[in-house]
Amino acid sequence: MDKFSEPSREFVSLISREVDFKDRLIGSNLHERAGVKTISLYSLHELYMLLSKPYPQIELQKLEVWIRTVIKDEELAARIKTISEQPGSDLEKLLHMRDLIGLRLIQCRAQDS
Amino acid sequence: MGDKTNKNVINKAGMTCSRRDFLKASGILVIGVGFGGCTIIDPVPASKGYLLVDTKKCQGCLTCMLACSLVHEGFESLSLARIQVVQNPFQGFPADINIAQCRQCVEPACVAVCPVKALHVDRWHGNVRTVNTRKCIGCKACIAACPFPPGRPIWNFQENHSQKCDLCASSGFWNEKGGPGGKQACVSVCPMKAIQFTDQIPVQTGTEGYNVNLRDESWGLLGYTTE
Amino acid sequence: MNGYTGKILRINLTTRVVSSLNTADYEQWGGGHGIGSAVFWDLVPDKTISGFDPANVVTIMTSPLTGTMSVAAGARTEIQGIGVQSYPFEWFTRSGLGGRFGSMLKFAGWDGIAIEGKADSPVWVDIRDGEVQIKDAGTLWGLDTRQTQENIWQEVGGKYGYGSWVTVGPSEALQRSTQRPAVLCIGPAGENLCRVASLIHDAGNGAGQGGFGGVWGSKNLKAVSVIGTGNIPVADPKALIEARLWAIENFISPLDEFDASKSVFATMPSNLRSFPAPLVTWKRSEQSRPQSCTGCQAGCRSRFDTALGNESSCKESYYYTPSWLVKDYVPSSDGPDPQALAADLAQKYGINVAEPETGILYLRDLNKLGVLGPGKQIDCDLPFDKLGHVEFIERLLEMIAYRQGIGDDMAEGFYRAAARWGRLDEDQKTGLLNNCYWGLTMHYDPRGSLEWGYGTILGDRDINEHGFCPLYMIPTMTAKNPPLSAEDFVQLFSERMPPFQDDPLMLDYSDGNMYSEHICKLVAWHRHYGRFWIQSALFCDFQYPDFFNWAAQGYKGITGEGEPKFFNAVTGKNLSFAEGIEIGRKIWNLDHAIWTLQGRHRNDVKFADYIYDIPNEVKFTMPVNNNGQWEYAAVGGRKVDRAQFEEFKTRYYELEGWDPETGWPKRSTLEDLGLGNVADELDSKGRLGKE
Repeated sequence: MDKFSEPSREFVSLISREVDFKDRLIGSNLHERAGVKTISLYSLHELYMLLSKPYPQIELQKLEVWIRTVIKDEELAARIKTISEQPGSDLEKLLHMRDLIGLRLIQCRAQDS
Repeated sequence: MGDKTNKNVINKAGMTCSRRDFLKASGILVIGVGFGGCTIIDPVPASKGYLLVDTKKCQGCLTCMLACSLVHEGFESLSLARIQVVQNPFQGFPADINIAQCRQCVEPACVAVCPVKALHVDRWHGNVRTVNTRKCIGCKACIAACPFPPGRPIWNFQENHSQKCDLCASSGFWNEKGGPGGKQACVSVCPMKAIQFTDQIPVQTGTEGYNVNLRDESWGLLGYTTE
Repeated sequence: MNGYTGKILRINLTTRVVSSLNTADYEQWGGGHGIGSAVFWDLVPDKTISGFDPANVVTIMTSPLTGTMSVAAGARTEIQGIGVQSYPFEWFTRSGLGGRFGSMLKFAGWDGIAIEGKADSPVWVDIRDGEVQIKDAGTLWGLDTRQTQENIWQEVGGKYGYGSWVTVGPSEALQRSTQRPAVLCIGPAGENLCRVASLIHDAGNGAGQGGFGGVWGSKNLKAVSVIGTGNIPVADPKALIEARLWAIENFISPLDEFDASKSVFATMPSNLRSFPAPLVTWKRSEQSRPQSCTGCQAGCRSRFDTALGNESSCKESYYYTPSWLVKDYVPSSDGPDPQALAADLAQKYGINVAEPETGILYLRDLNKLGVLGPGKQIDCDLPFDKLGHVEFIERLLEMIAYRQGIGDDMAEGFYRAAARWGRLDEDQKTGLLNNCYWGLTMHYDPRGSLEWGYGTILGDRDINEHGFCPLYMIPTMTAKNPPLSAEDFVQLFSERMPPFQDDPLMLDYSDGNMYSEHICKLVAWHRHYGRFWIQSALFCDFQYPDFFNWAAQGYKGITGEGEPKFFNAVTGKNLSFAEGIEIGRKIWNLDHAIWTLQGRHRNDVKFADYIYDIPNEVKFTMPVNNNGQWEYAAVGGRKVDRAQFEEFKTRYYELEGWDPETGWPKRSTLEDLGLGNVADELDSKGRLGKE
């Protein structure tokens, strides 16, 4: 996987912040017994945690738009878009996106420490 | 006259124990016959079958108890089941479950105390220690004699006799042949395979001979301890 | 009467009179729910009373299979009465639990219990075989459910110590048991009349829905304890154990054939063994065991070395969503796992976790919105900085159980809380308050899971019947490699749905079929099957209906053949699968008559606004019929259309033989079912449907 460009401290602060209520992203967690749990996501970290569940469901385009316009990570959003345009199931794509987001979060942590 | 109660016995397993020591440890009431109040216990042949359990594998469903009562009595009962599973839902694993299966003791205290030999060694069925319910006079000495709580002989308060695990030798309510040469209902139905039949005599002292590890690699793959 | 004990215990808490009913008078209803509804009909003349009214009767019913080794059918107990959780009507409703209460009740000689009235001070009921005493509960009142049960165990058998034989009844009879009494009780939440209070048994068995914990609290009833030494007669013991062995051989995965690729399906209603992989979502220590209800093979719960969260599973184990969402979850060596603690506390307080499951997410959103929190419009001292940690859930549950601060609102359920906060209309329009049917929290979405949503709104509560979940879960979770073709998969279900077995279109959830007569049949079948085989014969919903089974030949599960095999082996009857479903239809009609008397009209049968106005985002991969060809396709991303749903209701009522104008039962339908007396009652109240 190609590396992300090195983020500045300010950029890390921006993309790892918690967003306001009106800017939240709605995702769902599918559990074989629990049914569908609808969850508001307020940060990139929370998005990653949902995508780490076995059967997350988020509308792919909404996810991409959210990362671009709310989180304001254009580079990550572009990569997300590329993945969503590839063949495969939505679940496979979400797992791929999760890995990408995870890499970004690791970068953020490295900057913080 | 010699004190036969001090005579050491070498049993089939090659184990030795003093009869006096055994009787003392068991707290058995020795029924006086003959020599100054001490019983001469004739050596009895060892059972050809034993139940081993793994209390760490048991899921506490009591299916063994339901199967036992069903095949012996023809109805479901917990109180008349000849294997008992005792559990405390609030306790931590592994102390939350205890399984009390009959040990088919090499030197059965229950057989020793029965005044009418109703509780006897059934030589026709692999030497299982079992109750001839027609002979039983309901003295309950066998129930008091069992050194392993909860006592393994059961008091059948409906028919006023005792009864106990016979490895399904007398199980009339299923299509399998029971006894040491056949099948045991509890073994057949246990969903976790936490009960196993063996023809090898377990270590007679303590519980390690009868509470064994039946968990293999596949159990570990399910995320449970195999120790 | 094989399978039955012959007597139902009747307790009047007002007069403290203990009597009994004859089970034979109710045997036609099968057991469980059927008997419970019939007893309720007889004992409660005025069906319009509140659930908190002393005249409300709570029934606790077993089935002939309870206490037997029928596969996944030996342990359930059905609880019924007027509930206090649903809105705007406090529907006559049901809940259920597993464990060992029902079986112990049978061994004590009772098929069930009917409790009416209100004691003048806190009491508990001590049942020891045929001896029943109503005792003062002064020292128990205020205790959590664990303390309550341990105290009762001590009183009933403590002097013997558990681990020895305990004598039950007169000592000379030597009727003994090694078992602890089975206790069903309430915690502080029930004592404080919370509408979200549950009944709890042992460490993790709960009857959550309906608020029966609050109903018991209103009756000053703390606990019912039972210890039994008796028998359950079985008509054909050989047939019963043969049936068990047949099920083991053909429908249950061998323990040592663990297939990691199938582990994700371990907890699905898709084979009779859910592997001993309990539905526990916190990181489970290997120092644990699977644990099952009486006679069951599934091992769907656990006990742990710490004992924290013992026997909790499913929703109790994952309702505290923020614990994995808001931080990287790593088991802390410093304290308890928040999810395990959340489960444990909910059991001890006796709180129905379905409410805080969506409620916590709602509180979080309101806090983010800036309207709820310290000093906010909805003022509360919840530590949102500790959301996801133990401190938050400890405080939240304490607030609810003791009605502290806004806990007094939340104790009414989050729907009523939202109303008190002035947010109901707005949050039901947007779906921020995710309670979509009868004021209850969404479990499965009506926009996607049609049988679930429709069945719920046409009934009284979240149906919580997972029988058709494999229809959408298995293709979704095996999208790249489904085990069967769409057509074959559908047939596994439809061929065992009498009397509609010739209409596989029942199982096409696509947009064009959402409101069709085919879906009407699906919903009707599900209600009828559930009312008898699940809720009356008490086959556990976790395992039945078993349409699709990974372990079975051709994946064909035990349903259709298994249920009557066990039922008839125990009872000696010759009931067919289809006949059982027909009894279920009768029970469903009786329930619907009760709701009609409670005031139901078809105009009340509607979802929250957001179900009609906002499309859901979840899509399932499901079999759909495309011009006669079955294929797998994505289904979802849609709304329920108001007008078309009204048309669906009309079709549904016609299928059931109810008046489509009102939704009320017709005399002809009721009389055909032998419920002429029910028709008379409806007629006298002016609520009989027109022919």
